[in-house]
Amino acid sequence: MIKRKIIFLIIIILSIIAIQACVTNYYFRYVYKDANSLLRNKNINEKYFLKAHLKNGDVCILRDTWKVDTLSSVLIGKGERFDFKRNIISEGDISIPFDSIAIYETNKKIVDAESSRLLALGIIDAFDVVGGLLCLTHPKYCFGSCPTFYLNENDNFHFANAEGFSNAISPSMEYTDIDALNNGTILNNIFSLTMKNEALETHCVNSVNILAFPRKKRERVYNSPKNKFFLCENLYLANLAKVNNKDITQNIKIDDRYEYFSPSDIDNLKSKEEIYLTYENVNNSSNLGLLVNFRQTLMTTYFIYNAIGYMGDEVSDIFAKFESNCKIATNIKDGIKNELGDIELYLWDDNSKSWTYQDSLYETGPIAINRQILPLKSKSNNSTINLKIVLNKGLWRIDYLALTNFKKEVEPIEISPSGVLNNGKNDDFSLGLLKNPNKYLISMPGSEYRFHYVLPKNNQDYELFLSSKGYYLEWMRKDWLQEKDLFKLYTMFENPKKYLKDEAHSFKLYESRLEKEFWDSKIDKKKFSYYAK
Amino acid sequence: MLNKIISIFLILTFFLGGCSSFPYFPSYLPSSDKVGVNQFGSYIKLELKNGNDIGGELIAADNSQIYVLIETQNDKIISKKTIKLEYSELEDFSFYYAKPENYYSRIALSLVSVLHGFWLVITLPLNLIVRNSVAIGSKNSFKYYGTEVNSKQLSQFARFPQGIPENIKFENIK
Repeated sequence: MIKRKIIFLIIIILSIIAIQACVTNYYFRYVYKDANSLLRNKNINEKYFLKAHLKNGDVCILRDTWKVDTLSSVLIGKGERFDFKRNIISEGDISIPFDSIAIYETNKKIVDAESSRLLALGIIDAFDVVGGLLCLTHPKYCFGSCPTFYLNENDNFHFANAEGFSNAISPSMEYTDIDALNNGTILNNIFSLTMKNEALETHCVNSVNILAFPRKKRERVYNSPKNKFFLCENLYLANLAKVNNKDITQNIKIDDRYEYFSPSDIDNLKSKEEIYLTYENVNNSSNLGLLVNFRQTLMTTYFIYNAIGYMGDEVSDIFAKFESNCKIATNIKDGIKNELGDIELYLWDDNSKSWTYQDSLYETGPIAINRQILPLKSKSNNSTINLKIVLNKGLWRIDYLALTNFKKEVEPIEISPSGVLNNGKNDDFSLGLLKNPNKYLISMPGSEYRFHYVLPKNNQDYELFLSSKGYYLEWMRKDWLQEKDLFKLYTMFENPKKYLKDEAHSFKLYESRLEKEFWDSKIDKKKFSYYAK
Repeated sequence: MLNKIISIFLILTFFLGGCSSFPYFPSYLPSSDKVGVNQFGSYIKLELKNGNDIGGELIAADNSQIYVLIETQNDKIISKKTIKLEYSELEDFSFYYAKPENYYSRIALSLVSVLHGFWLVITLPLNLIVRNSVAIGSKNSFKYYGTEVNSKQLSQFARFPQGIPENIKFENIK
């Protein structure tokens, strides 16, 4: 909120400067009909330039050395004399009798006429340069990351519906990523999805399939962290949500992108916090699951960029080692992740008067909101359900926490693309690559593909999920080469606990400067047609 | 997407500033720091009721008339003459007493916003607003419109603030 106010203030200041830049310099000369009135001018000591317009049409322009000699009734000084056609007649010492002068004109120097404009341009230039440098050195703050997927191709990354395989930063880390698309009612059997490369990365896409589940009115399908799919009905919104006695109910009650998040711990990036949830009047307390809409802050992005920066000019050698050494790859994949921890769910057990662990979830990626379900393992006989969520402080953004009843586990219908548009044109070659499990569609920065899918039945509504498989290669930036630090890299992978403690202060600088600005730039509560429930 | 952004940029540029580009200013018009020691009158632009536009050096002005030195061109020969106009012949007028700085070229620097990635949505309009405001503001910074001055004030910006000298025929002023 403070950052938003600062941005607002900057915009206001720039606007004022801009308006100021439009202001005309009102400037009037002073004219005097005789020497006496010139001498009576209270500002005469400021030694303005003086123009003596003579009765014959000539003009004498005197610099700041002129004097009025009242004894001799002459005006004396140094300057130039011009005739009525303004050709120069003489230059140097000038003596002009009063009676030949028709009018005296003084002019005050226009000082700093361009200062307000130069200030405005200076500020905007500095703003552009700093912004440009920040974006070049931290592209993810500005250019997004991983393949981003959109139902509406005109949306920007703030409203991405899914992001694919965010963890797969090298070939050996390739995996299939499943994301709920949260689609509205499907009216026909043709469905389209746009994939964009909005980062300085090479995306190697093995498959982009749709998982479809037929659904009836008031039914939804959600996936669990283990990629099991549950057909669900009923919704129970939170009556109370608290963190450290702070009420955050409004943040997590409705699926509105008005998220709860907290700043990281300045002393240790491993620190946890707890969210306490109360759900009242839960009519059907059997087969309950907690719906969690969440995504990450830019913390993991920071780690990925740091890791590559620490590799410096050895980045390709080290990545080659990852590919050939499973242990290193596992350390990269799980080291820091395990220390940061999952979002863990606990249920309050009235009988044992204790919290019982239920399940947990983790999904990398700061852009698209993940929508998953955590089925409760324990059954509650009470209509009031108390839950506790334990999560890393500063790593997560939570949008929605609601209970639902799952009816049964369901199996998806997997659909591969039937057509591909590459920048608006049919691209059968890319379609062929996606249909061949041994080939990859290579998507370069700025690429945009639109995939078409044919759903099994017309006039049947489906819940849709994206199943994307592949990996991506982060492009090395020149500035990162200067950050080479193999010892830090070693600490990061071999002793992530220490790394998270050591790095807490540095991350805090990034977090306070960029995190909120980045996300506060989104338009609040934008509604898409496909969000309509 | 990039094409759309560039298109929007071009449209906004033309809409906000390009349509009123930097005008011509005669060489006798001084820069702002030399306005106090300039021997010539201001550059005045007159819009006549007959639909013609005239521009030239303001020679003199009184309660009923304005004298303007204009340049005319016949068969590649440029000649100067001073003309006298009644206020009743004028639809409107404006004048510049100093030559403004030209900041229009710096509007193109708004394209730097492309480097700002998604922030371009904010930074491009901000750049266009500020840079166009500065350019337009600068263009008008040493300008007065006819409605802002009376005839006495107007005369102060003429070559002869005292009026046409008695010994000179205005037709001879060049």
